[in-house]
Amino acid sequence: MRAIYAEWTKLRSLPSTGWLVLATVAVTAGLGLAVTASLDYSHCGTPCTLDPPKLSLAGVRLGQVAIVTLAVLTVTAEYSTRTIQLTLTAVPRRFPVVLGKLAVLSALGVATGILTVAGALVAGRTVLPGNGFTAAHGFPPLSLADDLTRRAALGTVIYLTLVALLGAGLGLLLRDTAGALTAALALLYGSPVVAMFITDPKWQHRVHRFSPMDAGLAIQSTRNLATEHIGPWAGLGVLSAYTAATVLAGLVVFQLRDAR
Amino acid sequence: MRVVEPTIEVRALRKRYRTTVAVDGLSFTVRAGEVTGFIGPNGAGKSTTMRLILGLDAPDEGEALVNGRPYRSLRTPLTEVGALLDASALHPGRRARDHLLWLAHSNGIGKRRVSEVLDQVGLAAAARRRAGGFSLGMQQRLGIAAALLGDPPVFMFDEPVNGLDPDGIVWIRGLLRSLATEGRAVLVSSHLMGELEDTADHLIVIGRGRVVADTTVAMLLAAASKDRFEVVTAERARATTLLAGAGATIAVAGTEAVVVDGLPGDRVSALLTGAGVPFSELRRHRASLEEAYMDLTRGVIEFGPDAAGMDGGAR
Amino acid sequence: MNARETFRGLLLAEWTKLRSVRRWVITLVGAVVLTIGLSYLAASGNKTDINRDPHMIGGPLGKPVADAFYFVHQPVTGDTTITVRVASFTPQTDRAVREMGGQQFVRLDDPSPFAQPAAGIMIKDGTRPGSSYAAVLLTAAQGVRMQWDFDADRAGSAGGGTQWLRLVRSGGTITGYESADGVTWTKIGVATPQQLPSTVEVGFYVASPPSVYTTRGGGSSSVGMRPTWASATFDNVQAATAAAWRAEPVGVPMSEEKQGGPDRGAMTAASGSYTVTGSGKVGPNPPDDDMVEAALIGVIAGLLALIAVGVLFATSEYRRGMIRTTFTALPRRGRVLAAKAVVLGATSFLVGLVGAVGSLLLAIPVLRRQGFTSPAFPEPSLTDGAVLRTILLTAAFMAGVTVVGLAIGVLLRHTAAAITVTVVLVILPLIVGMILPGSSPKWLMYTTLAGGMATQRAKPPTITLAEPWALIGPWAGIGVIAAWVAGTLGLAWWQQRTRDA
Repeated sequence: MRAIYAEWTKLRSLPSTGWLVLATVAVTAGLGLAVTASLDYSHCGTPCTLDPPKLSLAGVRLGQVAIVTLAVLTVTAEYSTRTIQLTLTAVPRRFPVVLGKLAVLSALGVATGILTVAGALVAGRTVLPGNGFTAAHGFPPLSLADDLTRRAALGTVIYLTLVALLGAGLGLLLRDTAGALTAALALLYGSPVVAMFITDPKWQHRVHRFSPMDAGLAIQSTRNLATEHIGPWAGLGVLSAYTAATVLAGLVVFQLRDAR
Repeated sequence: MRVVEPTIEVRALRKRYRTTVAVDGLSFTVRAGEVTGFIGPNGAGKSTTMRLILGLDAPDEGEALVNGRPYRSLRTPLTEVGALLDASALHPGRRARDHLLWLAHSNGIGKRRVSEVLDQVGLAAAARRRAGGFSLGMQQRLGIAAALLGDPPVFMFDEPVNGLDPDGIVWIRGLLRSLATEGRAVLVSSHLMGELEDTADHLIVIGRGRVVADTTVAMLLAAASKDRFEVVTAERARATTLLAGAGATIAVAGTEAVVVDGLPGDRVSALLTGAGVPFSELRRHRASLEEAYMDLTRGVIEFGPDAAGMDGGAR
Repeated sequence: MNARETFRGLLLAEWTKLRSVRRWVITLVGAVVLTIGLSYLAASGNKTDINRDPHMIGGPLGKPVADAFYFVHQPVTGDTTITVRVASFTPQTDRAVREMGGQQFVRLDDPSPFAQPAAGIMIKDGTRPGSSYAAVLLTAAQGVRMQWDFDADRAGSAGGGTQWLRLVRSGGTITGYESADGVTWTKIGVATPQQLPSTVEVGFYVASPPSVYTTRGGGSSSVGMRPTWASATFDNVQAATAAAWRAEPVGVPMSEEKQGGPDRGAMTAASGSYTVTGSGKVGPNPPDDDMVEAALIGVIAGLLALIAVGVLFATSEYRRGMIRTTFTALPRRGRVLAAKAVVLGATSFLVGLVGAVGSLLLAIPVLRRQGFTSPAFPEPSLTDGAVLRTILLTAAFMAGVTVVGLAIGVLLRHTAAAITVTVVLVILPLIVGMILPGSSPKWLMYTTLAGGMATQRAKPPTITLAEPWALIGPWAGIGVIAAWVAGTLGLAWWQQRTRDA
């Protein structure tokens, strides 16, 4: 559709797009590298309950900030520069405009996710055997041939796409860069912080179950699955619910309000 | 071949924002083949009207049609209406060329056209520069290029000469006239009366959300000019005192000229000659558009009963 | 003075700018609401049943204590003196690293003088655990000490060799003495235990606190405890009466494990010399959780809102070219920045203050209903020194982070970038802690804004606490924030001077 093509042209013609995608990949892989490099099999204890694929991919907890910022800006920068007037002059009907943005962000999210996961897994694969995580100890090198690792990788790609769309939805809803970005960061990082302070295990469990980031990243686990607060696909389901809610709300607001 | 004559039609348009009624029962038509000027004081509703025509805001009552259809129903609106509302609505990080490119893509316009319009507005050299570094004039020209992109039969410009240097202003004037000559409908809003005086054929004067005048430039000027005379004299002070004493309203029109309102021309001549005040010229005053505009909108701005007086009459 | 007048004018101008943007005012109010609301909500979901633990005993000052040892004692009425010589003292040294339940644990060393194996003499109000007492003791590694009421501690000599100890009760005070030879006595301190009755138990004792083990980072963190025993031989015992000694363990043991030692301790007497083996800890026993900190969970939410305002206060000027207006009117750019910082800092400090006080007022009653009561959690009063400090430092923390947001906004001139950077600086150790629980390195707390979260603790952290921001103290935390404020503002000021508007 023409609206989608126009949104893609907008996105690719901004240098910040490239930088933020690169940041997502670099930060995720970098943090994953730092974490896996600090692990040591000999200090792990028997049986070693560490989860190398999950730890390699865990850097996404910080890396997601870049792609969420990108998604929020895709919407809110149009309001701050008043380009939204031009967009709606070129494409007067509201729904195709939103569809175009969401479609383009989803595609970018998937592409970024693939690069990010690849980078993080390569980093982990390189570093872990040197720290004692070898096949002999029950830790074969990270590989997508392994079902659970593949699921963790795929899940992380889906996760990044969903948080990007979450950011876009908040942007449509709040229209203001500072507000939407702060809301997105609060939503993602707020509940894990709260969970850290809560001592009652029952409530901790609940907070983790319904937190967009913690639930969404449950899919990264490849071991000790029983200790996770929520099942892998159910966790992504929770995140999808948040994303769907913000996108839907943003769509309604965009459709109904004046374009200022 | 054009099936429908290019027009903008506004009928009984009404829009309020919170407690202010921005546009109140506005009706007018912009026709093809002429430049229609859209003038009025700040806050009169010019920009609001344009936004309503473009479907950016929804009217409370009434309708605005472009080429006979509401804007939101147009499939490729940029090929039917070219508009410049806010030239600074640009993303600073985007190159000028890419800015036009996404607009082109959104309406199925080819990228060759992008190069053409950049040439046409004189920005070909700056095509690869980012819009953040553009001067006011360059931004304006980029906005005009965007309007030209779809080669539309209808144009709407909100303050197009803003920020242009004298060369640019001359060029714009020529562009507007040539677009009209090509049979397109052109609506231009401006605060610079002088520009519109030579460029516009038809005028719509708007005040407090309503149409105050909808007429040709010639008729408006004539109405403002009538019964006014201009006297060129070296002794301006003496002439002023004398004529004012006879009941005329005097306005200064230069170091050696005054405009006399309220006395017939031969009476002016008789008074001056009789008092021995030398004067080198006595002629009918040709009102400028500024004067006509002042006459009209003064009535609108003041809370007086004769708000829409086109008659230059007694004051 | 002209300069002062101008600066006052600048302050007024910046304050007007701040309060005239409705969106910002709403966000500031929202920060208060968010802080208080989230604190209240989180408190509602926060339960503890730590008081059901039999080890949780209330001391004479109302604080939680541990009181377990082997006591050889007799009742005495009125003023009295007891003197003993500690002929030998053998504490147990537990292994530094252990395998427990398949995981490797490392022993944590508690630097507190109450966590030392000890042999000494004590005057105590009965044998009920948690009752008032005063003691002079020889510790394994911290020499001779005098302690009373689980709270007070005075250092004596460094010890070594035989040690004579003496306690003298006189009315409501007890004085402790030590000597190397039994002839020349040095006073260690004077104790005033809470409401000592006329009849007290007097005697000698041995205590040995359990070893605390924790797993190393890189996984989950858990804590284990193992009891330890120490033994000592006392002779030259001079007490008020020649009545019979009662020998018995006092208190509930910390750990139920039997690791081959005697159950609760023992005493053997042989011609005036008594060999006592005992186990347990006599000292404060605070729970890991800090009730005041638990009532301030909402601070993080208010902080995010404040960061947004701080950044916007800077970047909104750059966006519309307003900064040119400001600077042509007032060419002293550094002072403009200073005025902004002062106005913003004061406003956000106020927001933090209201938020913190409101959170405590609303959340503490809720927490108390849900198990956070005595003896484990004595009721915090808003006028208590530690609580006041917490309130003020937390407000200062929030103000500091907001001003850092302002400075970063000035430096980066881009709203999204500035918000992202500031938020990440606060939550980075959190993120690391999410990935590898218990492994957040201390240096991160000293270098990022997250260190400021330490200001929310009202009591010192216990050694077993795994939270990242328990690693540094509240004053260190506010020091980190102050350094950031100075650094970023300084950088922004320097940039203002050298860059075009």
